[in-house]
Amino acid sequence: MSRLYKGFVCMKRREALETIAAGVLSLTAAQRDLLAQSDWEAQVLSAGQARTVDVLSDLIIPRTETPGARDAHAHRYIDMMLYRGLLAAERDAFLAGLAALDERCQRDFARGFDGLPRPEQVRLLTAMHDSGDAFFRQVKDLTIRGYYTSREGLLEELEYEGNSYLTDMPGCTHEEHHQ
Amino acid sequence: MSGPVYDAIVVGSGAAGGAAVYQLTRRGLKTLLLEAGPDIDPRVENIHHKMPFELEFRGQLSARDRLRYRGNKSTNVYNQRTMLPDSEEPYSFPDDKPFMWVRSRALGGKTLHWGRYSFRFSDYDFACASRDGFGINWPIRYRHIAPYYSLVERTIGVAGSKESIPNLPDGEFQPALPMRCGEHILRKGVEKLGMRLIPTRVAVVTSREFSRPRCHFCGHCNRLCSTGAMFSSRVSFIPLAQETGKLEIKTDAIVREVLTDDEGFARGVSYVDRGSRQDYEASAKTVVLAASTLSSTKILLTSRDRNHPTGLGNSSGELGKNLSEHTMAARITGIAPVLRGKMPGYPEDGHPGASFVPPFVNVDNPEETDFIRNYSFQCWSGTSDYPGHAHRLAGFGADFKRRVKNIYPALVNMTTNGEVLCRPENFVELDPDGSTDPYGIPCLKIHLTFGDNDHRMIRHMNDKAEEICRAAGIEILSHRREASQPGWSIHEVCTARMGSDPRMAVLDGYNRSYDVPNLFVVDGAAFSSATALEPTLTIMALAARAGDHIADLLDRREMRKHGPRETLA
Repeated sequence: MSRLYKGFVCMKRREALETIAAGVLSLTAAQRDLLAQSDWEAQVLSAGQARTVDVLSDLIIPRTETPGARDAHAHRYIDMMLYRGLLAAERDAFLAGLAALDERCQRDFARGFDGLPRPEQVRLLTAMHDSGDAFFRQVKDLTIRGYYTSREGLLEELEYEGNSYLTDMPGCTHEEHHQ
Repeated sequence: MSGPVYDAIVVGSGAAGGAAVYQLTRRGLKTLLLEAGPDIDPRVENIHHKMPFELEFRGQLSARDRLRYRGNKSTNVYNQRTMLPDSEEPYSFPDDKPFMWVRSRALGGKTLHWGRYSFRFSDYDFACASRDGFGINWPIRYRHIAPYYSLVERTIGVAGSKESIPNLPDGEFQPALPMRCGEHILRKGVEKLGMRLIPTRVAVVTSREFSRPRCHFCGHCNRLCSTGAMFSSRVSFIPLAQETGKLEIKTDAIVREVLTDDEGFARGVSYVDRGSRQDYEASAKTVVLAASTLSSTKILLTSRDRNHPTGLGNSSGELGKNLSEHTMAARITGIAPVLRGKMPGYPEDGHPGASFVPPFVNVDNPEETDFIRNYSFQCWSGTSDYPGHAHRLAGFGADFKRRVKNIYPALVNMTTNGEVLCRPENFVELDPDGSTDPYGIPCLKIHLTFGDNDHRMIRHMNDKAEEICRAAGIEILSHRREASQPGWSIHEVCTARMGSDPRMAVLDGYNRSYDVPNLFVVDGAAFSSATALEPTLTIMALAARAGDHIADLLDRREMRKHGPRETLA
């Protein structure tokens, strides 16, 4: 059983204890990101593949004035999904696409995608985007999902404040929208 | 068979079963409630305030569970405990007619995670066949059901606004919730075209003085409500019925058949205990099926015997036929330009409701368009816990990221509920291949496709939705024009319909079987037409009304009396 899975079980157990103790879930309990642990290890991706996926996610959603996909460990999310989150056909398609990208870079540049200069990476990715490449679509969708469901993407970038207790639902209070 | 003889056995504990046991026990009847799933109190062991990054797979189902719940598209990690894996009750459909059958097995049924929309039907709906000549009329009129709408609204708590719309009667409402920015902008376009956009009427407590807590606006009601502010039978009807001391509940009790006696009356039901796989029987003076439209229909089809070779209560031949639901098309995500980059200052997805365009075509003139019947729009807007629009934006990089954020508070969404016509070629049957579930109960084969009228209506909804967006100045980001997969609305109805003519209908105007006088079907199967409105409030009102009628019949000792039924409508 993977470490991730153990983490989930522990959390459920902790949550059950809280529930028994408090009657309702305590929102002040630390909101722990399951993928942020320091001893993370990939379940599916090799070290080289993990580096490539990390670079791809960073190109798709880079750090700006707010954190990017790399800060949010998007490649860890993708590894988790490859391990037990995606259907076999989806996983196989992703790994085949990743292998094809690596092969192409080895052929044309004699090194992996992650070893290319940034402008070359952007040029390659742009060509894949423009041609409707299926692997690009898949890695982009997974990066979006991994980033915007992370603490960094959801709370810092989107400034999401929901899932909380409000005393009222304010609705729209802008006169100009009502006219 | 030994054991107690109940006044009534109710099969199923969702909206229909909840309302039925509430009224039966209030009338003093000793009632047994059988639920096929476990008892899960949504208020404990609830993970619904968890952020996605606190959950494995970020709150999505694992690959394994996606396969286990393939037919049950509403399943998520938050409600999974209440949902039925496909293997527990397999079903089939013709290869070219895929059908999505969403089922819950838990005390409270689908009300544990339902959409909460609660609208009264009107005589525009009940007298539908008189207006356009298609199908059959309902055997009741608004005046027959209005007191029960009030009873249900007062009991469960429905937030809404009085609007005086002829085909959408006002109810007994708790305070309505205000609309969000994007909905107000959409409203201006809707009103330019002569329609109305009103706050959705939702079964959520908004009053500070009610028997259940007021909504705390966390949103995500479909994850099971942790305080019970959202109505479910589990937190409302069932505990209220228990307070009478008249209710007995058996969970994990999967009903096989309705049992009949030599005279052709129902004498009880047989059921299997899910844990022990032991078979049991329970006896009652009255049997009330409330297991959901297709499950109740399946029980009747399975209960066929020598006297009822095509299913119990099927002398009309209509049992299993006329399957209907709502078609959802015009699934639009748009952008209100003035809201770009303007964060609302509060989490807009904390809203437990949305807004609604009541049915507007073919109302005053039933032949206004090239199709009959009508449809409604559901509309919602603003920020949420997942920016799904990001998947539809081209590009990548810093500019892509900025556009996702810029559009995030400006999103406006629409979809529809359109009445699918009841046609005999849309039907359910016991699987002709003879397949059974793990308990040996026959499986259902479901046949549903949309017809010509449905497709003409779908074209109209798509065009009208775009017209609304143009009038409101909303840029369309994506528009899915194709009809939803059959079953998607989770509003399947009409497979044991009520009607005034026993040759055309399974049930009379009190949800009572024409063939078996002490047998009632009180869920959506009883509907005579789907209408363009969410079915649940009407299911509950009809079930409560049937409960009253059962008590009256038992009082008058008329339950076991065959003969003509009074015509109501």
